[in-house]
Amino acid sequence: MTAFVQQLIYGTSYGMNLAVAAAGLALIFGVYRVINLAHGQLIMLGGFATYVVTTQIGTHFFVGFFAAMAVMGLLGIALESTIFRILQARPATDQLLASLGVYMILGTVALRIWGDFEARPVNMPGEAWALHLGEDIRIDGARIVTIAITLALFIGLYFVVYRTHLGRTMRATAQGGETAELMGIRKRRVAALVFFIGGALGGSAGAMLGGLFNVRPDMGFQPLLMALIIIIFGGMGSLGGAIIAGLILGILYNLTVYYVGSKLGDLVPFGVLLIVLMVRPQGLFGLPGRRA
Amino acid sequence: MLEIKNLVLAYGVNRVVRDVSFSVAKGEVFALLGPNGAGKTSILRAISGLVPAVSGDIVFEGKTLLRRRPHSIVLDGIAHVPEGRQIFPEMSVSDNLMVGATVHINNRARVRELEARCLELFPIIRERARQAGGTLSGGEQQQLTIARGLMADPRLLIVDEPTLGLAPAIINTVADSFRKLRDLGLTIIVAEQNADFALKVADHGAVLASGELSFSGSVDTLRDRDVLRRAYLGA
Repeated sequence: MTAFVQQLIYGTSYGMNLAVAAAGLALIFGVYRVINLAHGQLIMLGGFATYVVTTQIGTHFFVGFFAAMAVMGLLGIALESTIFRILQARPATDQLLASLGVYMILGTVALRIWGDFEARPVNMPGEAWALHLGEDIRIDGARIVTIAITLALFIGLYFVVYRTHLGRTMRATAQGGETAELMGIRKRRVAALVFFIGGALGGSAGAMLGGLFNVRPDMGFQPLLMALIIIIFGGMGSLGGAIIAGLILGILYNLTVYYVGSKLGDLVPFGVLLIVLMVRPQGLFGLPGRRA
Repeated sequence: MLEIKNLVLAYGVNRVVRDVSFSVAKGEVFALLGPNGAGKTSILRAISGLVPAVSGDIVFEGKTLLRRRPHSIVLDGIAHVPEGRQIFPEMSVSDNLMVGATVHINNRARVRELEARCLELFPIIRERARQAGGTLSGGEQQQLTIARGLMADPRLLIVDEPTLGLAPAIINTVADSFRKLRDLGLTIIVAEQNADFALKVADHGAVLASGELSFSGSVDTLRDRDVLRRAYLGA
């Protein structure tokens, strides 16, 4: 029972991390209709940005964390204005392939700069302490900090998307791009905003994953894969769906690794994907027949 | 107020509007008539900056609208209520309305005034404010899209096929709202296949048939002449 509770909390923190990564992907897909595979490398580079600022320069974790968000947000804008905007008139597969190309380029660049031999830790607040619940449940402080950060990010994201006029312009663009333009919404500004927020969410996910597991040039692959499955599971383009699906997947993953074995853990996301596609292909919050 | 001069529009090599000219005077309701595919929607889209002109000019209050982005045209005082209603289905009715006020959103007092005006003209919007836009009936959606267009506080309102798919009784309420809008001093361009409706609300009109202008003038002459019949039936 104690192990179960502990794994539940670890799964929650991992799942919320994935949900942050997936929310960025879902937001960009929902508004801009592109599946941005380069998102995985924004997660990775977010980890390295945090590593450079926090570990190498020697500042507090949150300085690196916000630096990662800002830099990855700007990288998101740069990708939109140089690559995706040009490809918007082309078929979706062209944009998907281009984003895969960006993924490979960024991965190679990171490998060149940092190599993959060294363990590169990022010190997170809370690493020194742990929470003891009852007799033998011990929860790392870093996990609790991760959960707190992701909660704050989700509240912030919810506020921006559902409580501000900027959010209205994003939702309007998602539900009818041309009509939104006729209402005086600037398409390019919304695109820049969405890619900034998406990139920043990716960067923050990388910062937290780096804090929990070290930073590596290949660290973007698994969260990207999980995020893709999460946005299908949650319903393409749905933010709430991404959060709930991320939590479910993270918890299932941790429980499977703990109780069944680490090798089977990697099957969980694909098993979930298979079941979702068979039973509810539109995902948790996708509407049947909704143009996605 | 608005002048279309020798306008040519094309999708690829296909010229959908050929050498069309007409002008709309301030304060009038101008009907753009013609069957499906005559080029009405293309002209309206060109006015709003969604379709580039091949040649010709579109002049609004002395300034050309060509090569301008849609949002700057809205800022200049033209709101466009698109064909097929096009509300944002998963957003609340009040959010739908506020999207229309995007160009004034930093001026809270003005937005409040505009909102009050819309709620007075279309009381149904107040009743439905919290509902998702997609749950409204066709007639309610049409009122919402017109109200949403009004939130931009335009001097020229463009309405594309407002009666499409609406029941006759509801078409009458749409006609009523057109009269109210004209009383506000608005200039309106309405594209319609439904000639009865257009002749009822408009002062002047132009008839399009396969991309070319076949008549332009007052609706009274339009009622008497058989240009309409020819445009629709090709007879």
